[in-house]
Amino acid sequence: MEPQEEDRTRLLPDDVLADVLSRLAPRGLATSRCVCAAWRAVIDGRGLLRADLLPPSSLAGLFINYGGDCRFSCTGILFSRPSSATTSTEVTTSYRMPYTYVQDHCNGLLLLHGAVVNPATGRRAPLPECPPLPTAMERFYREMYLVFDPAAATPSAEQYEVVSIPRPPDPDRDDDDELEKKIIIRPRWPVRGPTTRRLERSLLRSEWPPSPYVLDVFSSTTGRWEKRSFTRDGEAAGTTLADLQLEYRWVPCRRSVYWRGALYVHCENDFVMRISMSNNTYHIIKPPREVSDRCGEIYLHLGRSEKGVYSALYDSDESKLQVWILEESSRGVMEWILRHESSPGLLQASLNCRRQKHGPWILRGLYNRQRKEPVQHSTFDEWNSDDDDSVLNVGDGSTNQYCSGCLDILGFHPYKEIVFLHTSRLDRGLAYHLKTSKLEDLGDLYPPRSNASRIDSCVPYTPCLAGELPESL
Amino acid sequence: MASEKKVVFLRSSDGEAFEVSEEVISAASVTIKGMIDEESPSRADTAATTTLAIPNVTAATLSRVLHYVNKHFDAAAVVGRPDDYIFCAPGDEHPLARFDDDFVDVDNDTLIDLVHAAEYLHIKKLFDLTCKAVADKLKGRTIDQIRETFGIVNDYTVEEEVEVYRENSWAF
Repeated sequence: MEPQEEDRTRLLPDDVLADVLSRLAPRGLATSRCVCAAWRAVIDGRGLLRADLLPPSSLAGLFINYGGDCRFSCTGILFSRPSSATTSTEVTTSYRMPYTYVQDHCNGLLLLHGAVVNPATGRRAPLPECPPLPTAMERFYREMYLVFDPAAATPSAEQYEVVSIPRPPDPDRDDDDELEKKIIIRPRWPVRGPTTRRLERSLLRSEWPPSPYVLDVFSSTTGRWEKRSFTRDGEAAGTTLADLQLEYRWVPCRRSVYWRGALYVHCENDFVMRISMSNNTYHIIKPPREVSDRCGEIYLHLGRSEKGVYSALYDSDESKLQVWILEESSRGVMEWILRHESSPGLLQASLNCRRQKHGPWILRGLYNRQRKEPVQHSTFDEWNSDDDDSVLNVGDGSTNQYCSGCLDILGFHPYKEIVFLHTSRLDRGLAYHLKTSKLEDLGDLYPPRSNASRIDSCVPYTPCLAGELPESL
Repeated sequence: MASEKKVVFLRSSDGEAFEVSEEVISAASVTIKGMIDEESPSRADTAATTTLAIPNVTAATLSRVLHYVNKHFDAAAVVGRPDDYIFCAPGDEHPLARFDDDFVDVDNDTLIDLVHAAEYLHIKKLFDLTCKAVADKLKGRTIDQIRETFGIVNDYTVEEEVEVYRENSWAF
């Protein structure tokens, strides 16, 4: 066989190659490292891929927002491993989380009410108020999602965006919920106009999400909210707003995942909208085949894990967990592939599983708010299969003890195939390992001296030292 | 004579000679300026023009380089200060910004040849421009696309490849 083409870059001296490669962002450098040994040698030899610019790679814990009569004191609590067991990758800052709801997290940045913060660097940037929605949509509420990729930008041009997604209101919600309006921390409920009780008919009959879909997007580069129009690419969801109102299910917090330049947002009826930030298009991903005919209270939980975008669902009838992974089929269609299905009886099994070896995880930021307790970041231990003492194979159910309540999904481990769960009574947090089908008890999740009755939302937190935010705390 | 412009001839590796203003090429290329300075004592008293051998650069590449040099370094041809356009915001129309874009919109072999020539002749602006253009060809590409674009042979062993892919898997 003829060698088709000579390797032209081999002729470039290392200095020149280094000059070329140094113009790439961390993501490009990481890709280039894989091209051939000579390129890797140049990148490593000159330290072009700076460790502090890499995306975060360790999970510090889970930020939890509790619900119930405790909105002000029980938000933004970090559930994490005890600090005595921290590894060398530990990062400690004196940053103190404010009392606000953690709305979203993306690669180390947190979206709070009116601000974007990086707890690892203690930096904070204010987020101006979002412009109002059009009159026809004034009963809608908003959910905000953060987009931040520390590896895509060059060091001098770090930037993030906040995308506001309008959510159709609950058609049955009582109008006179003045109390809830007053204690709103983030605008989760529709603030209604004086006259419009129902949505306009023409809007109800319209396809949802529409194309083009005009969204408010805040860019840290310009410091402003701007209207951006996203056109649909591919099949429509095939639903009108009226359909969505008919099947309305209240979901405490719909999650998003930012993965390879696209924002995946969990939408009504378990559709996922894949928003491509670079070319202003969006794509509708249908729910997994196994759940599309299901109705009732259960809904998909969207998250990022080891291999990309995942979704999970806990079936309380059989007490089992189903997990899907998003894959692109040969026809170029994004679809959910069933990745894992646990044995039934997960809740029963949770009674038996023992605590992990480092002792229970603890809730931070709850007791010592006045004492400036630093946020400690630690990594979550890799699953150690030799350490069989601390875990239980699901399905081993050796007890016949009756258990009430149910399990709920907290979130995904962003780098390992682990789903975090909690019991409805909040007495324990659990880690379920997809690869080994084992459950691990992480400890008590109930915040003492509070009236928390549920978990409203939870975001996995991965500290990141990159990302300059304009204003220092 | 001050009024008459001195010229030099540059001879490419394949023997073709190109005429260029001495003043322009001296401003552009550190390497050629050095060569001219070395030659000058001996030619001060002769009328003959100097021919410099550029053994590493082919005629095709050299003619491109000189086209660039004449655009960028000939004060008479450049509007305003020669370096002004560098400070223009992206999107601002400047004749040389447009010229530069077109200049590096070439196939990979030609581009790599230009990088070499710019490096050898030590023309910093051209070197930056061409290196950036090569980097732009890498941006947003997959590993396989990069290998294909530049004809790079994957020389990793299976074990090495698994390892390096694992280390960098966050990027793709």
